[in-house]
Amino acid sequence: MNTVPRRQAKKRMQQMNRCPQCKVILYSDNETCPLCQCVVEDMSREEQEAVRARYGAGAPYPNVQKRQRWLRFALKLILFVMILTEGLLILINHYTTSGFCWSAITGASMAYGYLFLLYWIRHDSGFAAKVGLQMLFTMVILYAIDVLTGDYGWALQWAVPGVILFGDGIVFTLMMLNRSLWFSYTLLLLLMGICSAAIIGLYFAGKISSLVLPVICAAVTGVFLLATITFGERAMMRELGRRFHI
Amino acid sequence: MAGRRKQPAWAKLDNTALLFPVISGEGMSSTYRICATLTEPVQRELLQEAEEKVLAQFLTFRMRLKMGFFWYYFEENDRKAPEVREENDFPGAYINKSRNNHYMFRVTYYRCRINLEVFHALTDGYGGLIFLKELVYQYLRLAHPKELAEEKDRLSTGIFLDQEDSYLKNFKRGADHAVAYGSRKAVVLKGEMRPKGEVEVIHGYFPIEQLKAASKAHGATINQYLVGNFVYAMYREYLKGAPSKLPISCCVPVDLRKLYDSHTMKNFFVIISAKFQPEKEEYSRDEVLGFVIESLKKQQTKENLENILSYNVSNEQNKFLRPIPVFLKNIAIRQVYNASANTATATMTNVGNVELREPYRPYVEHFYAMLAMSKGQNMKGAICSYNGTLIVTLTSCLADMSIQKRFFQSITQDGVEAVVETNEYRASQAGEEKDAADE
Repeated sequence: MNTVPRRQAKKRMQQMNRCPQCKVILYSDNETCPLCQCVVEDMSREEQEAVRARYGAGAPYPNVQKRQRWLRFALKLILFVMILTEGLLILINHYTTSGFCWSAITGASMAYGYLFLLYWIRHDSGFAAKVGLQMLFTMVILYAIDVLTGDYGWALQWAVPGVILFGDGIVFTLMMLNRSLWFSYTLLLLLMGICSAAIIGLYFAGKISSLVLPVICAAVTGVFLLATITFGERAMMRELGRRFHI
Repeated sequence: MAGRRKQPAWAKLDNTALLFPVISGEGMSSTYRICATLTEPVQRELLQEAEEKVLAQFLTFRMRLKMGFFWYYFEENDRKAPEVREENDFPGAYINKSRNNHYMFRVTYYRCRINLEVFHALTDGYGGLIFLKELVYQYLRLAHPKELAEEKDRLSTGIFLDQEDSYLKNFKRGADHAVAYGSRKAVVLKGEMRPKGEVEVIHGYFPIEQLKAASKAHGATINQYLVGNFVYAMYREYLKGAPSKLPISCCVPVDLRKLYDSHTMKNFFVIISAKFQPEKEEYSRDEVLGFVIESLKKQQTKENLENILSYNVSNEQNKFLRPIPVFLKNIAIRQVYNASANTATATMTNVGNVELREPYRPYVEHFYAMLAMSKGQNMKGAICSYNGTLIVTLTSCLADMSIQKRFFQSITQDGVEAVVETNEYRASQAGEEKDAADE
């Protein structure tokens, strides 16, 4: 373990050449100089030994161009399948139910799914931030689908409160799974609280007719927030101090 | 619910670090790499163990980046140390924090080389070098327990783990600060680019004594001499010796620790620019070197460096800007950065001379550094010296290598011996790796 394996030690003896144009010695076994593309001249064994004694044996790089690009391929494959599927659905929609453009909904849903797949894979933000942003976009897209399909009001009445309740569930699960750092989800919980208050506000603004689900949603989020403040007062205040430092 | 865990340490970002979370991404990584080449192949398990031991003692590196409402901040990261992997990407590739246990650095290896890549928000070359040296010491203690039995299994005596924000500490409030950076555009090196994410790396090994003699003959320090030759190479090969309305501007980071007697592990540097504007045809190399030396000397005064520091910090300290939400600040910072990206042609940084403790020296052949590309700068250089050899590493995303060629030719013209190594894959490596796989 503590000695250099003989085979590996031998491997380190890289070939050296000299470029007559640039007047530099090259740690390379290629026939041309990487700087000027001039054909290089060989160095004698003694010369190479002398250079190694002064500068060491060199440190080559791996062939990273061969790296597997499987993730990029998988994403392209998903996109390709989605486009094909949507094309097929548009055709079916056109020939079966010409009065109702349901293929626009499937298209929007697939675009939403793909964009968020890209966001989750490529964007380098924390889990809580990704969940929070996805919740907000889901609410917006549900509202947009409702408006585009006749504005029956189901999105604000049922779907958005449902998303908030689902969000509460996710925050609770995250806090339980990552108990030592539960307070790092405080902002996500506050976001759910703000959304719950907003949904109640929409009732008083006359945008929704029934208070049942919004009240359940606000009550659940409120109790959750109250419990968090009561049991985790110091940790939560410190977290808020960090998050809101000016 | 609160648990019994102690609250994580947290820290505000220093003045330089504020920029990096906003502008960085897959396209611009804002990382740098410092490497140590050993005289023997690296063993992954031992390097992993060494990383875990050293990381436990460096709070600066044991941080994760979090987004607050007004500012980003660092919070102590208690996750497992990032996995040590064999090098499988180009130097300076983006560190995807969510796939790296939220750490902002990574350790890779290839054959005899240990690579430390650091997101610049965390620390500058000084901090990175301290961490790498301790990592190498720890690795060697694990790899050679008998030979290094007398060495204590702990951090080196005398190193500082200071985490003060030296920008804030040395910022002079109330003083009028002249605008430290010009908004004048500079030459941007354009041309055929390498495929996205690929970087050409060229290391040039020079004997320090010969470089010293050559620099002295031109009335310059080694740093000024190398920057001067770099600017000259750009002038000859990119501008073809023709006059230009725009100057060639080479950024030169200056470490402020000596000036302010600071030992912080956080970023503490400012950037000055070596400028050369060709107003007539065919300047000689001596003339270009003269302009660059003069330009650097003029800016490397205590007053100027203090002014740059104070100017930078005064923006951060502005009481009207501080309470603006971070997402709005990000938009503004991105705009300012994009607007200023064309004011520099390239960068040449010097991380200094590395000294190792005597028992470890026989095991380490070289140290070198390299910088990732940034917007508007398609070529960068980094200087590092160790054990009588100075290594200049030029990184570039341009396909054309004539600037690098001219740079090395200029130096060898002065009688300095140069050994060059690139990240080009060698024919012999393929054979060796095939043999290894067969075995």
